[in-house]
Amino acid sequence: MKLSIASRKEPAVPGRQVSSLSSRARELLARERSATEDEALKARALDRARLALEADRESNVGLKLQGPWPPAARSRQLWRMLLVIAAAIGAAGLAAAQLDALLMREKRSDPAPARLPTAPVPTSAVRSAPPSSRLAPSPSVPESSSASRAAAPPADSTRSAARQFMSEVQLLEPARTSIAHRDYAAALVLLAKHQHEFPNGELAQERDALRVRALWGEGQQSAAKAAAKSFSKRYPRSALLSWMKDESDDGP
Amino acid sequence: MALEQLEIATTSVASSPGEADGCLQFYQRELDYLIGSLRRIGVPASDLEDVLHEVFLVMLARWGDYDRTRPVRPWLFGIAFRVASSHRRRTGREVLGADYDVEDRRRGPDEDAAASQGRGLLLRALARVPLERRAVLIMREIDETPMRDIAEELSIPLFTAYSRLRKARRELDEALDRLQKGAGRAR
Repeated sequence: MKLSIASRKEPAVPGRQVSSLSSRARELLARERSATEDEALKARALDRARLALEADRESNVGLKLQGPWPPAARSRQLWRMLLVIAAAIGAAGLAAAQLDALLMREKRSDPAPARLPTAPVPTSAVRSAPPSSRLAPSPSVPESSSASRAAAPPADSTRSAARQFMSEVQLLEPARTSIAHRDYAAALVLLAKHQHEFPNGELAQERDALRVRALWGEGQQSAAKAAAKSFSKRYPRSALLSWMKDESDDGP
Repeated sequence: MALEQLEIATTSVASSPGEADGCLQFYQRELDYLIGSLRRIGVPASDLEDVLHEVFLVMLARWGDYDRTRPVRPWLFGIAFRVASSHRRRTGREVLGADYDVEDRRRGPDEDAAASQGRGLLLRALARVPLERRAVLIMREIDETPMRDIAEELSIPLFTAYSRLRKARRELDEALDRLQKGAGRAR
């Protein structure tokens, strides 16, 4: 696999002169580029990473985020949807009002039967159609300008979603490790905590899959079967659900 | 019923060990960069190992989606920055650059003392630049990432990235001045 370390060539942007750093700062920053780190720390980090991969294989559940990173906040998606609905209602109301006004005008000026206009095009929409290109940025515009705020994504909600995702990982990662070490009781405690704190979290599917595994390992076979059935019902198209078969129930 | 017959769950991580191993090898190769980035972002030395592991878990989760044609370091920095920011909010702690020196003294006599003092000074000065501007400064001045990639990775408009860079450069110079003057007076 070939990975690109080099960055893309930076396009020249007119008026993009930014004040330069002092020579002392430049020297320190240049030295920082080749800084190396503590070997013991790197060795410990690698051991933990290997253990996490082992937990993936042992538990058969990886903590995969289905959406983008950072995860989009649900509230943001909801607001977007509401805005789209509001815009659609507004546009429909406007079109109805225009049609109504047109019919009234025609009724006043023409005693003949009114003709329905064909596909009225709101000229304001044509005039104000925004160009697809981005607004030309200006270095003189302060960061806190309203234009900047309008263009920036709602960072707070994104951050809070990323924070929640990491909190979920912090509960589920030890649960997977416990399963890998056959400590199913400890895993069940952590999974119950996740269920309590994040009933509909980003990793709810992974939690439920891990629960089946942990219940089975703990020897609670009927609870494991019930949890497995509930899982397949709740997530019929889940990528986590490879197959589930109970020969002891369905077999001869 | 055997456990395997209750098999739930094969994720792409679990079902393609080769890919997961590829991610691990890549992580190993970029460890210096990742640890350095976390230090520069302001993760305390005592929390570095835990935060680094969180970064690995996110890398692993996103590995299948990573566009191999794109430069890798901005992608890694984006993950490190978000994980570190999240950690900082959870714990309410940020290093002020002082614990690098403490840790560094344990590294033995071979270490170049002047270089490590310089690094400690830089990390302390960076800590005085607000985090969002610091991220842009690090990506630009240390990682040499193009401004468009910085804006994209941090999800900010391009002119905001430039504005942050301008302020951050000034703040870094001022912080270095103050720290050096303070050190001069202490002697």
